[in-house]
Amino acid sequence: MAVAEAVASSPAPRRRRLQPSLAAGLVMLAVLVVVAVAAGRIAPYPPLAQSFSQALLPPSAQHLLGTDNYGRDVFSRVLAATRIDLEIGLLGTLFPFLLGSALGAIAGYAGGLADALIMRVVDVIIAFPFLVLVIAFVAFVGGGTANVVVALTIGGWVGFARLVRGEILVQRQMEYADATRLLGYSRSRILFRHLLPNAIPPALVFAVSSITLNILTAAALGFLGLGVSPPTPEWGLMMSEGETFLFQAWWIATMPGLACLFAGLTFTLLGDGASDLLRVRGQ
Amino acid sequence: MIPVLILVTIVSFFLLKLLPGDPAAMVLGDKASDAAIAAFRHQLGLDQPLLAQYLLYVQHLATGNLGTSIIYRTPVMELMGPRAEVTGFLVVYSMVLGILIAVPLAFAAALHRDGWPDQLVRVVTTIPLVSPTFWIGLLLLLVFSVKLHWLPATGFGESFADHLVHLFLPALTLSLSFAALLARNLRAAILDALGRTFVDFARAKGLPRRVILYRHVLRAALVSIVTIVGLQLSFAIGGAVVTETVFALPGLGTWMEQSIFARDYQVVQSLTFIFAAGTIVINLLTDLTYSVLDPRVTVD
Repeated sequence: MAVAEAVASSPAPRRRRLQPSLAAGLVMLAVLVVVAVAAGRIAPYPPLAQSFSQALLPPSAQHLLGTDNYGRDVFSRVLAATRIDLEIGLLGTLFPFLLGSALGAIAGYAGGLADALIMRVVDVIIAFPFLVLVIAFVAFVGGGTANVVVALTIGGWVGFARLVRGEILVQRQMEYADATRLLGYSRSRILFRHLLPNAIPPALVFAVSSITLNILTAAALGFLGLGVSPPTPEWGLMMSEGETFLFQAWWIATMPGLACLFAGLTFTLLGDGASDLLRVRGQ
Repeated sequence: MIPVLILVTIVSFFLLKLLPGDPAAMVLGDKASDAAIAAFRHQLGLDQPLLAQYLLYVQHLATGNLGTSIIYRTPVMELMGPRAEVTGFLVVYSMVLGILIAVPLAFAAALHRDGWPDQLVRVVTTIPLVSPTFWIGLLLLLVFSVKLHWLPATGFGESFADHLVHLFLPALTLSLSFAALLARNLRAAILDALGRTFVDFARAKGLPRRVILYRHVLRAALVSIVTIVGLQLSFAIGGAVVTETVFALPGLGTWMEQSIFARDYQVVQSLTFIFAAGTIVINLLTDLTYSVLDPRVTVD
């Protein structure tokens, strides 16, 4: 009986009032999702439509955020870029999360040679500055959304692996873990059905906040000209195109940055909120 | 440290193998003759088995041979010196600025816990953490160079004082996210230190508040400064690559960007290795500094 109780004793989440920062994050996320899905319908102009008579116009009622050197509407392009930047940010977090959590769990649970091998690879990846590794990978393999996501995965999984490995080491010492062993469960069942669900929440919180980092990294790659190719609207690329016209038309470079800030703030607020929820759960 | 360094050489070695196609053909371009490509392959050692290629690469690294730039037709090692100076100056300058910004903010926040200075610091420190570094650079450039004409927009300058002026905006750009993280951690460390008995003891001795704060509390919080510096230096090196391109600084980052577009792959490979090796050395130095600051910590 005690064994079964211990197994079933994974703490249930308690309900509490929604934190203001989490609420703000959720509203901002809703805005981002709507824009990402429906940019084509919201945007006043097609993002690729050029009009040289309308070039370098400052923000006005006609063009909310002004126009760029090709006469393209900056507001429409910022909206259209939301989908691609969000896509890279989300996929560039999802894959590192999955890969890192799996490898971290195996390292923590199996120990021995598997642990030593995995953690050695982690040490090597961590030795490279994240941005340098991502830039170098894309430089050799080539740009584009898929390669950027692969680069973010190669550089990003290590954080999750470390986190989950540490959690698994803690969880396997717990009473319920002993209980699962006494019940004669298989190793994979113990790891994936019992230990991992309890070890994963901190990694989830970390994942939400790293979406911000990945969006910023994607923008940096775009800015360096290593992300998607023009004329695709992407925030980083737009800022790099606007840099040339910083003296005449400050809005081209600054407006996509504001969008980036908005997206970054969204996932930071959500990450903070998620970590608060987790802390409540942990008590 | 040494095993990791060896593994890093494997990663940087295989970077060149990631190129879609023959590196020699990629480097020399479409117009190169087959004979030229074959000669170049031989020069790079590409006609040898993989293991031999790798051993040659490590042997070269060990003797300080980082390969030759195709564009400059000069050894990478020779080209690196002046550029490394710019990047090193930028990174260290940004760390110093970051500390100068963060310490007062952290004290203001900690001493007025939950008051308006604390809230303000919390909001202000969020901004650099959620916006692109190069964008902040562009904004600073726009305001202080383009509009106000206070500071030069580009270049490194000649003398040390010149460097300080020329690199002020880039260093500030790079320092802000570091300062934000540091201010937050330092705030927590100061609050923690304020609750310790040694502060009560110092008060009981009748020491002035200034001395308590800046001699005792700050000293106890120093470990957190070193931790954040160590963690962030790796990020700052990555950030420097982008920041340098914004301000057109003649550093390693701009060189890396130029080399990528010039298909000077040897340089990109070497720089990637140099950045990693630098990070490893910095991490080691951080650990050593810990043991100096806190005798309870030992380096193994």
